[in-house]
Amino acid sequence: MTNTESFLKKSNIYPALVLEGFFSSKKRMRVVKVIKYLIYAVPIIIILSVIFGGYGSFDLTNFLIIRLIGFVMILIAIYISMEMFEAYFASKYYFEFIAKNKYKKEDTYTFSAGRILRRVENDNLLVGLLKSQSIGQDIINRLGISREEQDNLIIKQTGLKNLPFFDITEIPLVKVSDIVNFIYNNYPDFKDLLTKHGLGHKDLKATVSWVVYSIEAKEYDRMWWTKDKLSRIPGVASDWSFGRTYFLNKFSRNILNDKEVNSEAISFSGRGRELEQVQSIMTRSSGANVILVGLPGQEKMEVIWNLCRRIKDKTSTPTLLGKKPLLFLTSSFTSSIDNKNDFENKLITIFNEALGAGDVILVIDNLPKLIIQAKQFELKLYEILEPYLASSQDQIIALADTDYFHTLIETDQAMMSRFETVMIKPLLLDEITSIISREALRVEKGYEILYTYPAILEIAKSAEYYFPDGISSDKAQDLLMEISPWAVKNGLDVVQKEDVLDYVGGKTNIPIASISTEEKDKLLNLENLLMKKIIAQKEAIFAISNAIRRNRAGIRNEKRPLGSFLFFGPTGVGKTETAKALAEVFFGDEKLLMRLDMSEYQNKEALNRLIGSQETNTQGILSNMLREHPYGVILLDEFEKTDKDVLNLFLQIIDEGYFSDGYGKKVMARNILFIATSNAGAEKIFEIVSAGKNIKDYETEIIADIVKSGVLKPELINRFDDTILFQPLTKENLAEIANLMLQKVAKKLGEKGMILSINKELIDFIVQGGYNLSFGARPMNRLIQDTIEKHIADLIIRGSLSAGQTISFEVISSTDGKNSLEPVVI
Amino acid sequence: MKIILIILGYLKWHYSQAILALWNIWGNFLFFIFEFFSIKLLFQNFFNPWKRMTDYYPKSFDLKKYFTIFIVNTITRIVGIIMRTALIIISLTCYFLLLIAYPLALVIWLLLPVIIVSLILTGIFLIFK
Repeated sequence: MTNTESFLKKSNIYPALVLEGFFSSKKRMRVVKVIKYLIYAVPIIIILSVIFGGYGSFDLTNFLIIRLIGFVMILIAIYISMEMFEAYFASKYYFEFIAKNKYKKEDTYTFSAGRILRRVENDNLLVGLLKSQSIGQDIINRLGISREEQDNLIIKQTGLKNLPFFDITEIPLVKVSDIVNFIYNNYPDFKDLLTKHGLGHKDLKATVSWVVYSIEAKEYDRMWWTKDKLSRIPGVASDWSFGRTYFLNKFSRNILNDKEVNSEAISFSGRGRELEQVQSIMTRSSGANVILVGLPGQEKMEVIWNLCRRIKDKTSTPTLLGKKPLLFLTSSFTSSIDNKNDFENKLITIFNEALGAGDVILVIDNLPKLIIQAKQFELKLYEILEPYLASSQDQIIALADTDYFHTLIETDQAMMSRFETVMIKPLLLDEITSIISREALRVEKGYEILYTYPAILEIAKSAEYYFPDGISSDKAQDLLMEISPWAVKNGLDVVQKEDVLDYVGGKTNIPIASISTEEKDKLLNLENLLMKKIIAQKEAIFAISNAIRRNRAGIRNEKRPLGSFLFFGPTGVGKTETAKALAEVFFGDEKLLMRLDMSEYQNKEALNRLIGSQETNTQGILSNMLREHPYGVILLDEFEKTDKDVLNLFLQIIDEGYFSDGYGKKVMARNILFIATSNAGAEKIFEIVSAGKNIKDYETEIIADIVKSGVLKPELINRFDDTILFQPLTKENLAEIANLMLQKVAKKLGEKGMILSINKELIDFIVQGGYNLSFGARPMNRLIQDTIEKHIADLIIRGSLSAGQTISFEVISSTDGKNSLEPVVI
Repeated sequence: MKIILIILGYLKWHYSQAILALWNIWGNFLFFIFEFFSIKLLFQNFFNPWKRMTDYYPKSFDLKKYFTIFIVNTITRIVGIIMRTALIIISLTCYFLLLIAYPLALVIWLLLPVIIVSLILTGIFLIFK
């Protein structure tokens, strides 16, 4: 006998496992279904026999009825047996996650663990896990391991001997998690496979908990006779001793009837910490008023729903038992108000009713809205509510959004003195994942798909990372609801991590899915592609290319922007051009280059213009820009010229990858490449270059000079990923740039069917006439416009140049050194 | 061999744990009836007015008004008492039925294996009669 067999036989559960082995739950269900059909068929047979059975000497009806009664008796016997088996199996479940069953040591293992152990061959626990249909398979599938990988794993296990078996003296009751942990630590093949999928021990544990929960939840759902389920049936006389709230009912609803309170299937965060705080405040003899503060969205109501679940289950604190929480719907109230008196009278009636009823907990769904309307009528809400807030009988819970709480309520000392504040803390990633995984079980049934654990984890992460506005758990649930129909439409049975990335990438236009071949080529040749568009400035090109590759490979710091670079150098050496080229080459669209001329943001209002302001009700230029295009390049031209507050804003953005706009909402900049340009240090650069030295050797000195001049603070300069000095352009560089500029003109003409002939003479003319020490290559562009483009335009309008013709230019030397161009059309 | 093991395992459960579970479920139902009819509240507030429907007595002395309000308040109290009495009778009846249901359910449960076997045997007998 193997270790596993002897271990299995030690428990009381063993007979149930054996029964399950050859008469599984599926088979039992099928038998019950067949029996039901047969019982329905009996009366039909009797009716038919009465109609057609009366012919001849043989009484068919009589003959059939007796036999049918016998048949039904057997069916009933089988049906009762099946139900008894169900009860027998149900009693064997050990509920870890739902209704903690009493620990029974003699069981030695849980029923679910037993199902895995029953399939173990030659003490190989991994084989048991892989072969146990209902539970092990579910765990493996949810980990995202393919059928082929599973088969390979089983093949690898054949012939293995003397495998380790867990020490049962260390584990009093073996659960599925114990078996899986043991496999992870002792079967390197399994661990390697998980590592290959990017999964660690923590992910494995979470997946096991999820699967075990799903089995338990299904079982527990059938047990309608438990105390908590019976408690939820509303009583008949609970409100006989309390007053009616006729008027209040027009503007409120009883939260105890909300589906979120009554259905276990709807999962949301426990919010245990906040719930405990609310309960302990509500038990006070007087001043039991709470203000619950959180982001706009569901999270505040989640605390209330949970409180209501406790009230219904009779597990709340005794003072709250039998209470009726009514949700006062501020919007429907405020829209019914005509004037000041109306507001005051109706509100007083409502609060009198709530107080008079004796069992009402009044939940105001939006206290700030009420305060604002009172203000409009030049009333102070606090003065109207004061007697009720001070009363020992009234229990009031007010809900408020964080930003309004800070601006309207926190500043009101009198109001604050009557309320205890409970701030809702954001959920951790693990908590969000747990909520989403439970929600997924419900969604899966409707769409007939299966979510893997890595997919669920990715949904939770993406909700936080790519959709900065709102509550993470709400966003993750929305994402889950959006992905499910999308998956069905795309013919997916199993939703993997890559599918989630695909969907999120499509929704945000941020490339996060796996790298395509085309993109791979682009990434590997980024330097070459950029160099075709930018002359010289190799250092800048290399630094940016590396940053982009780091990001796409997923090894960058995800809590900072995609990259941030500070370009120093004289005007017209290609700083702006580099940013443009990058947007076009890599981001695929020049429109993804967003440009802010920072010299326009020099005064004190600059910050508000960039991030918006609630007081003046203006939207921020930068916040809108980032919301519309969360992915791309932002060019901050003449960065050093902006206001000090704006510089501090960018210090935060570059450091943390986000900022809060004027309305207190989070704006993400984690998928943005920031390029700040500055002319600071240009003189020093010229000085060094004129002396024939290499500026690379003087980099530290130049930056020290910039810092000393006070233009930019050292901590800001240090925050950037890299600081790059742009070289002044040499004559050779300029010739190349002139050539590029002329090529652009030629391209435009080519579209009209005309040819521009470019030769060295023409290039030299542009370089000599256009180069300026202080403005770099920029004046060359103007020279091209003023000479070449002007001549071409004149010729086209005069009709002397048309499609199919070639235009070239002759340089005419003049004695005063001012050369000119003469067009020649062939 | 396995069949014997299963039958023994099942019977052991049927006559030990299952009886305990039945006892617990019965407890749940008793608790449910108690809560469903709010029996404790019905007794506690037996003399209270029906749904707190009361008028406040005038602050100034006005015999007529005082008397009218007294009559109204008395009526709401009487209505409250009648309704509560009726519900208490119904709830206690349910409670009583539930009390005797347990021994009945227990007897059926204990005999269930026998009942199943006899149903099958009688069924076979009737079919082949």
